[in-house]
Amino acid sequence: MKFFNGKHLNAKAGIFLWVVIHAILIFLGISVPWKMDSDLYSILPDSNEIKNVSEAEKELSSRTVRNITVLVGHEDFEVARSAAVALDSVFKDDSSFEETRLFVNEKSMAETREFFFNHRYTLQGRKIREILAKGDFETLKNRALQKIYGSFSNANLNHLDEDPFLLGDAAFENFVQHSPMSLSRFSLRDSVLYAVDSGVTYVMWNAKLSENVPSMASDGHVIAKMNRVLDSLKLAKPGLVVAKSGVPFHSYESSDRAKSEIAWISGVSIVLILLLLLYVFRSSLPIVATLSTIAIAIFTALAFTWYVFGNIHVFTLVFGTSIIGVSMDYAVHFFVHWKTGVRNVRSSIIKGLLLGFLTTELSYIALTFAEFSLLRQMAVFSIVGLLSSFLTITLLFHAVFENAMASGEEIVAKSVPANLPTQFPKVFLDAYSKFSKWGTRLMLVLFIVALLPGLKLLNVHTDIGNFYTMNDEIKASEALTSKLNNLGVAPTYFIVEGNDGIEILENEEQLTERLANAEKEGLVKAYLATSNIIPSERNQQKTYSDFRKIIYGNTGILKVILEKPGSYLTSYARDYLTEIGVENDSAIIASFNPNAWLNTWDSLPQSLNSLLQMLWLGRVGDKYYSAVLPLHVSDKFDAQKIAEGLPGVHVVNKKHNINNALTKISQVSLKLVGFAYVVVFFILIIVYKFKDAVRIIRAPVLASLFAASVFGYAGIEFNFFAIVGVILTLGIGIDYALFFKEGGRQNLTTTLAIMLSAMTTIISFGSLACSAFVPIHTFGLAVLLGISCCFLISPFSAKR
Amino acid sequence: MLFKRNICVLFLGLFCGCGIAMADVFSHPVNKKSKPELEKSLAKVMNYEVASGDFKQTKSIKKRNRKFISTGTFMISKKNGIIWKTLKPIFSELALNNGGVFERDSSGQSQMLLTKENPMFADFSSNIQALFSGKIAQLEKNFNVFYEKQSCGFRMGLVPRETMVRMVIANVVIEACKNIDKVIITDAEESPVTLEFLNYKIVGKAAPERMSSAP
Repeated sequence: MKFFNGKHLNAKAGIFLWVVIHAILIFLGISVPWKMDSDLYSILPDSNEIKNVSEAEKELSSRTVRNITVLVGHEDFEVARSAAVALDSVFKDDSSFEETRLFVNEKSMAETREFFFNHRYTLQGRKIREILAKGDFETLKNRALQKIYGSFSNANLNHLDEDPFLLGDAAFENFVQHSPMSLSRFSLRDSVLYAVDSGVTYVMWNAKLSENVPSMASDGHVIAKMNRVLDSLKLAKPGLVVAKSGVPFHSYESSDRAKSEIAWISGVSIVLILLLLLYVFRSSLPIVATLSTIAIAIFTALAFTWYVFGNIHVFTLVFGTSIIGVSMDYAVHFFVHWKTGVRNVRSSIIKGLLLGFLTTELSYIALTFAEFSLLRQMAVFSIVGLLSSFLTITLLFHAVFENAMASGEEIVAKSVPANLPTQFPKVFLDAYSKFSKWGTRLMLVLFIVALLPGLKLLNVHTDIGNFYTMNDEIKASEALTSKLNNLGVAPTYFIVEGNDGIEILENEEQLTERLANAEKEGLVKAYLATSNIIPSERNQQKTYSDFRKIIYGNTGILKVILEKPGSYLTSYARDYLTEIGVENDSAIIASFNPNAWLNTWDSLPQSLNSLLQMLWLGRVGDKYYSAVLPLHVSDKFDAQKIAEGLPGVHVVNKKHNINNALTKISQVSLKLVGFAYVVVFFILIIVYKFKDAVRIIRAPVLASLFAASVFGYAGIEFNFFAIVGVILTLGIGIDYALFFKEGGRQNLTTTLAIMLSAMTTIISFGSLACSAFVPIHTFGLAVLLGISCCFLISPFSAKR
Repeated sequence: MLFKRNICVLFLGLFCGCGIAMADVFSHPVNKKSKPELEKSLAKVMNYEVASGDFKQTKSIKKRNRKFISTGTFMISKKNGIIWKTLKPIFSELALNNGGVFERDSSGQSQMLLTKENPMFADFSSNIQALFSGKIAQLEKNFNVFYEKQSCGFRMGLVPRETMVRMVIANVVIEACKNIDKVIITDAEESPVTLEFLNYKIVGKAAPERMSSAP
């Protein structure tokens, strides 16, 4: 390694190179605006293989992700209402909320009725459309007469002249029937929505958080403020109960828990690591230098990742800080050798360090090919961080700490360094020296055999449902809100695609026809779809012309308009109008509008707008999308079968699709790392020859299999995060084998350095295994098992 | 929901029976003094197990000076629910029981209008219970209640508390002598629907403790 021995690259040139590389990486990062992404949803991979559908699905999620509902309950309605009013008064002007909703708009029903009355010739439901299409005048007439003469109709008879068939009421009823309110258990009282459950009257308060409110818990977060307000309301009004639901409550609760957990986990592990380093080095200099290396590596990695991705997710930081472990390993190796008085430390450790660096980098490079943004971010972050650490050790440390000593003469590390605690590596190596060659082989064979049942039991699957456990309070709140809303949105739903809004509605109508049959068969109780309320333009036009035909036959509309009123009425239509006392059809003719169909949605009533906000996704990419949501489905409901052969209809089960996507990404990642390992193996063969290459590579491979096998034996799901942990084991673990190979099995300095590296890694990652947050726990556990095993197997990589 | 509430108000009015004219009941809000009297009067006219008879309904369209008259039969059982049949000029039937509210049209086709889980059903049941048992406090949750004593019986006025409901139904007047004789429901455009109850028959005087049972 002449290039690094000081002859071809002197200290000044090294520093210059270090500064230039870091300056470029950092400059690129600071040249773009910095944006930290803390949205928990954005870490999820695409839930659908079709990019646009996945984006449409994300758009659908984003519509509800900031919504919250608080149910304020009490035995006495008045107490519950006054508490809800107090809650609303605190937050209605809070900038953290885009909107709050307690009181029902008194005019909304009248506005909605008027809207459907004005569009009665076009916005009809399936039932009326069928009657008109068949030209079934009798049914149309009888339906109207029942409403006119029946006792339980709330049809408005004041507009009989314009609407003798009460089509306005029919359109309004169709809207009510196909809106979520038809299932809800909430009623109106004193201008608020309330529902009763187990003797408690709950008043509903809804709100939407502003876009700038972070999902992660922080000081002064509006959810914390809301919790305080609700607690004080409970104190002020004994017997008051509160049920909170919505994603922001979950995000806050879980991130708040994670924050305090991470604080103590990282606090304990940092203290332990510092104590360990102090015990070994008995000096603050290596510790300060090591911490500086880590800080520089993280900052450089952060800047460059920012440059590449435009933002950085907080999870990338959490998982990406695994480079701390690797950076520390390099620094530890440097300083352990430095403390022994080795001249030109760099030269003595460079081969192992370089190979370790390249193999780890190769693993991370492989991960950049995974189709998962979070994983790619983590990989880029780690690649750059690791490069920074490697350069700091080999260029900067070399220049700063050993330039004075460097004479070009290499001094091998003393096998028994006097100023370092060597009793532990000595005991460790003594234990290994007792293994005979055949004893070692037998032990490895038995070890592999013992792994097999565990590997057979391994469940390679990712279920995001297992990642987060709600606390009992939130769980009960969600259950209550769901029960009272009674919407019962099925986990599987439909995303409908079209080249424009017109095509979407046409595609939806084909789907809802099948859903209507499923409803008749009892497979689904109801379903929400835009086309239930706003039919396609084709159907709107048909409804309009079918109605004209049913009362005027085939007479053209112009003739009808231009002639004397009543001239072209069919005889049965004329008889009916006479029966209900409508003198002529002039009011009907006046209400005809050749452009009556609804093709712009600019002036919709609020109630309809709210529903469309939920269902109509609009333009996503180069296409248009909407959602159709089946409600209260039975076990036999088969969404795939219903959507089969329908144009532009995609079945979505977000949880199932994300689980599949994560499982697929895990498998692809493993394959990519496997491929990287094959490359590493060939490099090792070139450097060390085949037999030694096998010895080196078997340690991390067996360690990874060990971690997987333990997961199998313990019945723990070997999920995406466990696989990331194994990938990290492969990346870090190979360094131990390489260092043993380079240093030799009898070298106490090398063994001490490896022990120290392994201990720091085990402490930092092992502590993550204590986390209650399943992804971090699984990741930490996998690394803990893998690194521990790798450390124990690595001494066999070196010849005796 | 509001649509359902409107039906509820209609139900409420219809259930109460029949009587007489509008008059000035709304200048007599129920008070501490009159409330026990109203409760007693209500309990008296509701003291039966099953009530049945004929009805005549007149829907008047004030703006057009038009009237729609229909006739039919009704049966109210405190135990089994209500059956309401419009016979002329066009048939329709509505039934309410513990399973919900059902409707049958002139072609014989039936459909469920409200399930028993529906809040309107619960509202309706509680209002009916309030009427059967004369619990005015319960009625006052949804209505402003008015009461006027008559030479024979009483007149009760109900005005929905909700502005949104008042935009559809302005008020309900119930008039009773020995039985409930007339119900007048007036909409926001001041068009009244008048229900007159004829051939009123009752079966089984309810014991006082059974009068509060739900339909």
